Amino acid sequence: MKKLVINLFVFLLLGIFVFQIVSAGVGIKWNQESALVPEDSNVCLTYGIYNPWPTDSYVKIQLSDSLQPVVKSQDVKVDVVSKYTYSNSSIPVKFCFQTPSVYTEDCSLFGKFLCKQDCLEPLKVYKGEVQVSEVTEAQVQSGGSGGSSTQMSISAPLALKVQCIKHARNYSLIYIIVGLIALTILLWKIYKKKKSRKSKKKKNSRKSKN
Amino acid sequence: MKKQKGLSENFDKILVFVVALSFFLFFFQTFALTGHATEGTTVSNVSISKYLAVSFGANLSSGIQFGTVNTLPATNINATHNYDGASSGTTYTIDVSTDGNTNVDFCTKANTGLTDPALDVIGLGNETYSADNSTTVSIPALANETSLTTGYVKAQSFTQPGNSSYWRFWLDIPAAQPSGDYNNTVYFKGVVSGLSC
Repeated sequence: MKKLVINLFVFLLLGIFVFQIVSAGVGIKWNQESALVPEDSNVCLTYGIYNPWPTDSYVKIQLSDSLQPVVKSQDVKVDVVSKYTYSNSSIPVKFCFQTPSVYTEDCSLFGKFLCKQDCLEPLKVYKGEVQVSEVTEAQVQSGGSGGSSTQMSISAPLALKVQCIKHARNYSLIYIIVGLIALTILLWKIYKKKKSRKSKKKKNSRKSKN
Repeated sequence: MKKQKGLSENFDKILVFVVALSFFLFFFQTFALTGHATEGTTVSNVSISKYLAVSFGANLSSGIQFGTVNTLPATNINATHNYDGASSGTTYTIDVSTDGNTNVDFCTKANTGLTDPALDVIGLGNETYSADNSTTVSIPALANETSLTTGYVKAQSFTQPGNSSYWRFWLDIPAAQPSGDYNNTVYFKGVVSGLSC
């Protein structure tokens, strides 16, 4: 019995010791470092988060500031990555980006209509990174003059190249206006014809009564 | 009278034609048609994936401590684990996992200078580090010490999967520094070798 208690005590101490010396870590896996995306469209990229170390880790995933203007959504929020999660079973995290209209069009009407795009501007690229960081900062143990707590992160590079789509002048506004005017005149004429037929019928019926 | 009626009917026909043409052109321009390639193609594909994982060694995960300082000014105060490893090497390490296929460079920064609760600050220029891919009593060398900054700076390059990056930290405290417990946060970031921070 005494031996069992001592063994248990030693086992417990060993457990505490191992827990203290093993730090949680972070891992990231990616297949794409750049993407060519047409302007004003959507693209989603997936990253894998893993933790091959023997302690669960609490992580935060974020995009660098330079990519924030083009982020639309992030579908998974990872908090805990279990210990011994290796790269071949990494947790997928999907980021979706909505590229803005970044290339200036040549517009003939009010700077908004009858536009064409010649794609004369150079290719626009949003460069940044996907960062995975441990959430909890290591606490500074008490020690007189204090010291520095520490925090770890890793990052994968990402460049979003926004593709300009060339197109001829868009006359659809003119087409729709001409079409609507013609349709209005046509409807007005039909209405007028019907009206004149009705009034003729009324006149005829009055004449026949008289 | 007949001629006028005929003209009116023709005008109506033209109007119908104009309406139809306008809407056709509108839809054609809005939903432009594309041609189909007639040549045969086959796809050649390769997928390259990169992955890396890093972890603090035990002592670096507990923070960087400089102990109690009794005499000022003090120069190059060693962090507590600068020389407590085998052959007096450092035990401040960042480990790169074997489950990775990329060499790692490390960047570092601090949020601010060491600051006490009364907001007295030991300037960031006084907290220095040196890093290397190996450690002995003289490596990482004090001669290579670099001051921490508030922006990420490349501190150490080319740590291979399965290896560790070794760090030492030093602190200078000016003579006029008020007593107190000073703290800040030091950040470490692993990036693919060769890329900027």
